[in-house]
Amino acid sequence: MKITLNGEPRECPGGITIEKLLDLYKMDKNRSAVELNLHVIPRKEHSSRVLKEADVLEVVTFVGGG
Amino acid sequence: MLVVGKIERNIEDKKLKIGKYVFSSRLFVGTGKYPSMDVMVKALEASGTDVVTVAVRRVKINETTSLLDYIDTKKYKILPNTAGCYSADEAIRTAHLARETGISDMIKLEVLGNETTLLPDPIDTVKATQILVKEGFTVLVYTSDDPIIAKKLEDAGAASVMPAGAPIGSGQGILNKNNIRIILESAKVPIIVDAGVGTASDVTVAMELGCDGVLLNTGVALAKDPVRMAKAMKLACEAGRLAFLSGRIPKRLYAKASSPEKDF
Repeated sequence: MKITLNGEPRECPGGITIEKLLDLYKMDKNRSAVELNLHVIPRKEHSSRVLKEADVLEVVTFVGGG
Repeated sequence: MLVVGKIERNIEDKKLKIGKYVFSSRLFVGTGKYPSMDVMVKALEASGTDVVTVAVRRVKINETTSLLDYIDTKKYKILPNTAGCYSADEAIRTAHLARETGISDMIKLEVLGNETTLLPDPIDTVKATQILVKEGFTVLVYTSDDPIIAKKLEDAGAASVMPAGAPIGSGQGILNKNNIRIILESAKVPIIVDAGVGTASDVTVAMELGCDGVLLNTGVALAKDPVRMAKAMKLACEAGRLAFLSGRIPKRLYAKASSPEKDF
């Protein structure tokens, strides 16, 4: 199915969880935060939350800044 | 001996307290723009800081290392910022994401007005402060050196108000000492000069005025020798604080001899 991941259109298997998606795209899970359709999803829900077609995901982490 | 004892007591300093957090160092240091992670780590160490700022950005695909892999989070308190946000809503969204990482409930709130000046949008800054404070964040808020806005941010519940000495990254130092002094006169929360520091004496000026701390990034990160500059900033911060606590002499227009009048 098609989703939007960090602003880019991406393909992923239907029924995938947030956790599995982060694994699929090799994204750091430990230091990141996830927003699904503009709602922050608590980390403890990443393994159970299932994505749907056309979901919009933002996965963010910390970078250098002042 | 009595006099010496008295002086020593007078220069004893309280630690910096922001919300529920207590810090030994009064220098906050950013993690952007260093030539390498290795230099950054050494510069942070040399600065003696307890608090390092970080920004929130998208994770890249196949990016498995993080800035925080290089920073000892047991040693340093991480202060995420909302840099790059141009509205209260954007800044609040970024703060929510930062808190969700579990690293801190502290947020360095920046709501910017435009890209050229990077000056704060005062209206949205006050609005975002009110909301984030209600949501339980410890808000350290970047603002201009306007004393009225500074007071409104304190009233909104900011744990620390952080006026810019000069525009972000400009290295111009403390451009309006008078405004900083006016802010300090009535402040009930720690005042930390955030932005504009170019070199060590800028930090000292801020601390001599009575500021509770200084937050800097570019002045260290883009110095030719960031690690050495970080050490200079540490010493400058301590020197300025000691000078403030010591109580400087008043400025005089005319000379006053240090030696007794000649009597022979």
